[in-house]
Amino acid sequence: MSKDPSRHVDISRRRFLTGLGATSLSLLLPGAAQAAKGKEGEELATLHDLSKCVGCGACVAACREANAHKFPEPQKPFPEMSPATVKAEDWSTRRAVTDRLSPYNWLYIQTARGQFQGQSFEVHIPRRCMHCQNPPCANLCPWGAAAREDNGIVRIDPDICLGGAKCKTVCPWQIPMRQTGVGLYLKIMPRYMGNGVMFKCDRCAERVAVGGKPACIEACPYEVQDIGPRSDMVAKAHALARNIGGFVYGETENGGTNSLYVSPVPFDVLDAAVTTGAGKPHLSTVRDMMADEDKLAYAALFAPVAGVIAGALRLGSRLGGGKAQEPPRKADASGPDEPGSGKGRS
Amino acid sequence: MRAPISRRVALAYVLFVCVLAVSGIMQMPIASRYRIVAVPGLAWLGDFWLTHKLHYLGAVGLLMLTGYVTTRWVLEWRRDYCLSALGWARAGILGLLLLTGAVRVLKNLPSVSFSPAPTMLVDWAHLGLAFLLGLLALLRLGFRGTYWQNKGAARAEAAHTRPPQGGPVS
Repeated sequence: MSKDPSRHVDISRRRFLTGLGATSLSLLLPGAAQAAKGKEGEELATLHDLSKCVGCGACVAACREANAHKFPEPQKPFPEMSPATVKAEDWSTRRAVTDRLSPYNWLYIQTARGQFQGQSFEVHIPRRCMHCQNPPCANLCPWGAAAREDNGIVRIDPDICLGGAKCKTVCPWQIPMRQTGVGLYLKIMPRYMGNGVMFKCDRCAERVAVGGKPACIEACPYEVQDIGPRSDMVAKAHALARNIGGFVYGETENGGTNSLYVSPVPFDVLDAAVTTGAGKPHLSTVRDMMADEDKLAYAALFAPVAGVIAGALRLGSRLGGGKAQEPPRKADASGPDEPGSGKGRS
Repeated sequence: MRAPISRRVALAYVLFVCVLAVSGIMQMPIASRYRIVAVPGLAWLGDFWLTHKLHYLGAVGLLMLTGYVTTRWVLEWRRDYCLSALGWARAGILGLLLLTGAVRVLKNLPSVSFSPAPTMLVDWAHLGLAFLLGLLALLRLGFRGTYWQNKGAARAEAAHTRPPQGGPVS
């Protein structure tokens, strides 16, 4: 919700790390690694002007229609799971639910009502995946099922996901939702591993891939949303916020997201006014969840160098200080293997 | 057979590998499912962020140790020692583990994105290599093997096992 003054310095360091690593690894994975902000095109972000949203739900209906073919069709009865404390999550009997996120409802309208500066307000907020720039769901998925694409879309591969729900646990907004009885786990060890597939907004990836717009943006009669290169959307968000005396959400949350919101009411006020909980994400400030890992990556880059220096120094000190005490080296087996010799051990 | 490395270095390796093994396994969502978190003192294993950071920390330690040991080996120890078949296997698996881990760390940086297929390949390779390393350690224990040999001893052993060729040399 607010700008972090240290961010500029941080990005420089990250770019250094990224450049160094990407250069060396490009030899090993040609074409696999692509800088998301490279020449090929900046990642795309969406901008929600909440002052325009009336909560009509046209976006929700369009999302459900456009993505219906991706919704899960679970096999029943569900396989028994061990231990018995593991519960199935079945949304297939509640497909019509639209007042929260579910495997069958990837977008819903959150409504905040209250008082701000002596005036009552009613703000409607379309909520779905924030499509983080550095998504924990994709970074921590142990199975490689979640990934961020070059255009900024974060997707979960339904053919690979095992439904462990780790992505939901580490998501700052707990966006992905599980449906039991579908996916790869059924073919492996359904009793002992996995529990379905995680589902969430993929920002209509197929449409965007061919130059189209997500269904929610196309369907909106009030042009609440816009999509474009992130830098353009950020500039537009700030200009809009200046015009209406509003506030921006999503620019710096979790280190930056590709879903930006501009509201005439501060987001902490909105957060206090909306209903949050399972399938109903909050609007509070989120620190960069991967910030510590970024710093540790920097340490990991220099760790081997430090080890090499330590090894060379150790050898130097042995040659310099301990040479006179060492017995002459023998080429046969006796030297270092003599009990208690200690030669070569340091 | 006496190892060229000190006990401290060996213990550091065991420590880092144990940290990496535990924190790596706990990257899979099993701590909650299998009620490991309910065991007194083990609740922290269910904290994905904590175990993730521990995994990074363990990797930093192992990378440093690898740099140290490799330098000592190249500059010093290789005059007297050579790797056994088990040693070569461990070196290869460790090298690939470090490489796939490095690729994953790179992928986790904010401005880098890999396409899903290579990400998955790296994840699975990292997981498989970790299991192979554990299997190798068990094999070594089971067969009481060593990762290195003293060059003199290796030569003597080779001469002992080699069938005699030709007549006596005067």
